[in-house]
Amino acid sequence: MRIFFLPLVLGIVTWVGAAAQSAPPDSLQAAIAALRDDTVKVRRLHDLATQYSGSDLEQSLVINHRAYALAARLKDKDWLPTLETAIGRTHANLSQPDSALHWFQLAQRGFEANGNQKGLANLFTKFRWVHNYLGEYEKALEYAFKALAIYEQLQDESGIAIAYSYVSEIFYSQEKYQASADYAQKGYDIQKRLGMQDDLAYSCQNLGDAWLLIGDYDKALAFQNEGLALRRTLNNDLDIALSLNSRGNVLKYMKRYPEALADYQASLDMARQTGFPALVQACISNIGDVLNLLGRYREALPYHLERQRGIRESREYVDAPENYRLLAEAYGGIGQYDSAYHFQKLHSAIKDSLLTEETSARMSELQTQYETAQREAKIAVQEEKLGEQRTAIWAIAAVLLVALIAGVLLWRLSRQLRQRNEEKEFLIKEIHHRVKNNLQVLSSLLYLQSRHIEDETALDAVREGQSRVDAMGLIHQKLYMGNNLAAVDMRDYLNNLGDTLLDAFRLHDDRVEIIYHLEPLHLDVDTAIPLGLIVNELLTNSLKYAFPDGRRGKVEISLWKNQSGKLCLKVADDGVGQAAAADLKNSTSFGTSLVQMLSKKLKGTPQVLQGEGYATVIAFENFKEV
Amino acid sequence: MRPLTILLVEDEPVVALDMQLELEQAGYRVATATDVDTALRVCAEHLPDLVILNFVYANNMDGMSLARILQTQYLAPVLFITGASWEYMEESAYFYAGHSVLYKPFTKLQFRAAMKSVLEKVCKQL
Repeated sequence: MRIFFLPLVLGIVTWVGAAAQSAPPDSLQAAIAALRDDTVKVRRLHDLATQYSGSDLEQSLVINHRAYALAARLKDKDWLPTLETAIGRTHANLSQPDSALHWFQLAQRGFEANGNQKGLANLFTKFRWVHNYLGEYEKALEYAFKALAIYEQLQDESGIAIAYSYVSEIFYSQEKYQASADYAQKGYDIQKRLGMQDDLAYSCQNLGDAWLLIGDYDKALAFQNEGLALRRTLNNDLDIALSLNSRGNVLKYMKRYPEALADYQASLDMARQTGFPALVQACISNIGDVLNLLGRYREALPYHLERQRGIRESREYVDAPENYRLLAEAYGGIGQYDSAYHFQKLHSAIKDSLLTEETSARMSELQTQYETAQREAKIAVQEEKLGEQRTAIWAIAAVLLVALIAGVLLWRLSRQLRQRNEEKEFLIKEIHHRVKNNLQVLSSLLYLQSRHIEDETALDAVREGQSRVDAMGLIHQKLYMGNNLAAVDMRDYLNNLGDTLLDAFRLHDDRVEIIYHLEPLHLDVDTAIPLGLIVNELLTNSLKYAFPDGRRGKVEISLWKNQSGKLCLKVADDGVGQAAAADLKNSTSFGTSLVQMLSKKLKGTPQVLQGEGYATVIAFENFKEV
Repeated sequence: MRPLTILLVEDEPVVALDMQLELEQAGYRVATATDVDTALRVCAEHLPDLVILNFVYANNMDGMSLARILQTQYLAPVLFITGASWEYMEESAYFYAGHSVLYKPFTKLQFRAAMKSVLEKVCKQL
C-alpha cells in the first residue's frame, strides 16, 4: 500500500480573518471597480484575490494581475513585491513552479530595496515551498532557516512558528518523520498559545501526516480531526479538502476503508470545485486504491483510468508504475486477465528501465524526421502497421492461454510490441498536429505569394495551387482519429469544400448553387484525399467555365455506393457545356490529367456524360470505408 | 467610427503575417504578439476589441490564463486557433465550453466566418 500524499497548499501566512468567504460575489468586484482611490483599489483587489485563492486559483490569478497592473501604474513600491509574491504563490498552487520562482525573484528584489524584512521572511518561506515541491530539499531547508533567522531577529513569534512548520514539512519530504513531528509540535505549541487558528490547523495537518508514517495512527487521527475542525470553522474549501485527504490517508492505514473513501470523495469534490489539479489527482489515486482494497474493482477502474490520463497530461511518469500496478490489480479483480497481464507487464517493464527520458529523446528525434506535410503517405503506412500489430498482440494473448509453456517467449515479444505501439500512437498524434500546422503554413505562404503577383496567368496558377492545398487541409481539419483509423465524414467535408470554392470564385451571391446528393459515408483518409482533390478539380472547372457573363445555374455533386459495391462520384453542371467553353482545353489540361491520375489510383475511369452542360462520372473500385 | 482593434497572438510568423494582412484588408487595426508577456503589454497599450489566440498546446495553462485575463480585465472576446484535434480540445481540462475555436488548417472563408460570429457576440454584449 502506498500513500498518495499531496503536501500542503502554499498557504497564506497573513491571517485573512474568520469572515473569509469561499467565493466572493461578482457584485463585490463591481463595487471595487467603482472605488476612487487607486491604492485602496489595489488593496481591495489583493484581498479579493486572497479570498479566491481558496476557491478558484485561476480567478485569483486574474485578479492579482489586475491589482498588479494598477500598482505598476501607480509605481507603488510597497504593493508591487507583495503582489509579485501573491502571483508567484498562485502559480505554485497551479503546479507551475518555474513561473512561481520567476515572480518570487522579482518580489525578492522589491523587498530588499524597501528593506522590508517581514516581507522577505515570508517570501523565503514561499521559495522553500517551491524547492520542496521540486524535490530540492537542501535548498528548501536553507530558505526555511533563512526565514526562521529573520523571524527570530524580529522576535516575531507567529513567524517563528510558521518557519517551524515549514522545517517540519521538509523533513517530512525527506522521510525523516520523527524530526518532522518534533518541529511541527514546536510550531503547534506557539500557535496554540497565540490562538492562530489558520496556522494551527496547518501544523495539525503536518503533525497528523508525520505521526501516520511514524506509525502512531491514533495520534495521527486526533491531529487530523483537530485540524479539520479548525478549518471547517475558517471555511476555506481548499484547506478543508487538504485535511480531508490527509484524514482519509490515516483511515486507510487503519483499514477503516469506507470512512477513508467518504473523506477522499468529499475532498475530491472540493478539489475539483476549487480547481486544484494536484489534489484532484491525489484524491483520484487514493479513491482508486481504497476501492481496490475493498475489492470493488469495477468501481475502481474509472479512477485508475482517469489517473492514467492525469499522469499522461502532466507527464509525471514517476507515478506511472504504481498506477499500472493498480490497473493490473483491478483488471485481475474483474477477470479481464489480458488487460491485467498487460498492465502488470508495463508495471515491471517501466520499473526495469524507466523509459521516459530515453524514449522521449528518441521520439523527438523521430518527430523532426516527420516534419513535412508530404509525409502523409507514411502516416497511413504506420496506421496499417499499428492495426496489424494490434491483431498480433491479441493473437499472442490467446495462444498464451492455451499454451502456457510457450508463455515466456511470447511474453517478451508482446511486451516489446506494446511498448512500440504506445510510442507510435503518441507519434501519430504528434505528426497529425504537425501536418495540420504545416498545411496552414503552406496555405498562408501561397496567399502571401499571390499578393505579389500581377500577371493573370501566374496568379491563376498560384490560386489553383491554393485551392488544392485547401482541399487537403479541410480533410485534416476534420479528421476523426477514433480507434487509430483516420476517418473523414464525406458529407461534412464536401459541403465545406463546395463552400470554399464558391467563395474563392466569388460566387457566394446565389448566382450559382451547389446541390449535394451525398450518402452518409466515412472514408479512410487514403481514399478521401484523392477523392477530395478530384472533386476540387471538377468543381473548379465548372465554376470557372460553365457560367460566363453572369449566367445563373447549379452544380450537382453526388456520391454513392452502387449495387456492385463501387464508389460513384458525379459532378454535373447546367452551364454552357464543353463546346461553348472557349479556352477550356489549354487552361485545364493539368487539371484534367490530375483527375485522370488520381482516378487511376482509386481504380476508376472518368467518363464525360452527354447532355446539357458538363458532367463527369467516375466509379471507383479501390476505396476504403471506415 | 474608429476601426476595431484586433490583437493577434500567433507564434508561426508566416501564418501570423497572412492573417494580419487579411484583417488589415478588411479594415481592422491589427496588433501582434508572439508570447504571453508581450500580449499582456500590447493589451494594456491598445485595448483590443478582439483577441485571436493560438491555443497553447499540452499541459501549459499560460494560454488559458491569458485568455481569462483578457476576458475579465479587458472584456475582450477571444477566438482560439489551434492545431490540436477537436477531440483533444473537447477532452482538455483547461478548455471551457462556449469558447470560439478555429481548427487548423482553416480556409479564408472559415476564418472570416469565425471572425463574424465572434464579433456578433461582442455586439450583442455591448
